[in-house]
Amino acid sequence: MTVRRLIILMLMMMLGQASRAWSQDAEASSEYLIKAGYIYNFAKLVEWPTTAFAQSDSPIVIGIVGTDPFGPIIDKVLEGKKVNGHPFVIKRLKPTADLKECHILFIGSSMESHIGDAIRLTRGTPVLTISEIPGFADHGGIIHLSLEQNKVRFEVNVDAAKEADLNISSRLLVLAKVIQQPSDGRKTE
Amino acid sequence: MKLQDLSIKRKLMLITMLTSSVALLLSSASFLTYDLISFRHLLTQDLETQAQIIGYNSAAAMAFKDEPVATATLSALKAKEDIVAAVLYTPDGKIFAQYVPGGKAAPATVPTQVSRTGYRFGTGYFDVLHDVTLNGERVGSLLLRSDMREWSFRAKRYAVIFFVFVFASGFFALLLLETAADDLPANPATRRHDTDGVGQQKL
Repeated sequence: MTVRRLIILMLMMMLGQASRAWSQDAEASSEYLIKAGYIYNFAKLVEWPTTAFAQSDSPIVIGIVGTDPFGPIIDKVLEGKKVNGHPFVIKRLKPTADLKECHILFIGSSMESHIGDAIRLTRGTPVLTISEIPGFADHGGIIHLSLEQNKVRFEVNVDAAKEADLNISSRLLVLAKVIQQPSDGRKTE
Repeated sequence: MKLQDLSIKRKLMLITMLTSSVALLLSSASFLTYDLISFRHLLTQDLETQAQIIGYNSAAAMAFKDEPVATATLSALKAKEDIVAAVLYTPDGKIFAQYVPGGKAAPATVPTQVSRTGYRFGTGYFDVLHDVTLNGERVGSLLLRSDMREWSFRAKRYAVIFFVFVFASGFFALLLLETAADDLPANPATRRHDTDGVGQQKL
C-alpha cells in the first residue's frame, strides 16, 4: 500500500515537473516568436545604404552568433517574407566567422563576455546589431531587446546606428527608448 | 375666390408668378443638391486623407503591438472636432486601440470587428475604414468616424438662405407685377376697342 502511494506521488511529481517545463518552453517560444517578429519589423524600418546589397534582390542576411534562442521559430517567421524586394537568409555563425557579412547580427547571451569584440568587429559597417545582453546599447550595440512587465521592449543607440550608416525610421524611434552615445563616451537618454 | 372669378390681368400675373417661382425653386434645389453632394464627397476625401496619415503614423505601433503609442497617435485627432471615434483593428479585425473625444465610451454603432475597407454613411455620421500597412504588408485597419457636422451646418445655412431668398424674390416679383399690372386694362377687349376708336379718328 505504501509503495503504491509512493509510486503515485512520484508520478504526480513527474507530471508536475513536465507540465511546468512545458509551460516554460511555451512561454519562451512565445517570447522568441515575438522577438523574431520584431527583427522582421526592424528590417522594415531600417534603411541600409545601397552599397550593402550587391543587387536589388540580394537577401538580407541575418546572422546569429553565440546561443541561438530562436531555434527554428525565426526561420518559420521569415520564410517567404521580403522587405523592399530582399528575401531573408538566416545563418548561425561561429564567433570566429566574418560578422561583417551580415545585415542584421543577433548576438546571443553566451557572447556576453566577448560583447566588446563583437561590436568592435562590426563597427563602421552597415550591420544592425541586436542583442538581449544587458547594457548592449550602452556598450555601442544598436538595438537592445529586453522583457519588461512581460512585454518586449527595445532600446536604440542612434549614434551607433549613424556610425553604421543605417537610417532608422522615426516611426521606430517613437516606440523605442532612445540612447544617444556621443563619441566622447557620455551617455544621454 | 375661385380661379374663374379672377380677371385676366390677375390670371396672367398668377401664371407668371407660378412659372417663375417653380423655375427658381427647381434651379436653386438642383444647385443646392449638387453642392451638398460635392461637399459630402470632399469630406469623404478629407477623412480618407486623415486616415492615411494616421494609418501611416500608427503602422509601426501596430506592427510592434504597442497599444499606448497607437492610442497616443489616435489622440492627435482631438484637433479635428468632427471626428467622434477612431479605432485601430488588428489584422484579424479585433479592436486594438481606440480614441473617443473627452474619453467617452465609443458609440454603440462603432463596429467591434471589421472585415472590409471603404466608407459607409449612417444616420448622422460617416465612417472611413482604411488598411494600415507597413512596408506594403497589412498590419491592421483604421476606422475614422465623422459626425458630418460641417455638412449639417452647410445644409442648414443653405436652407435658411434658400427660404429667405425665395420669399424675398417672391415678394419683390409680386410688387413689380402689381405695379406693372396697374398699366394693363382689366379686360384687353376694352383696350382694343379704344385703340380701334383712335385709329378711326385718325383716319
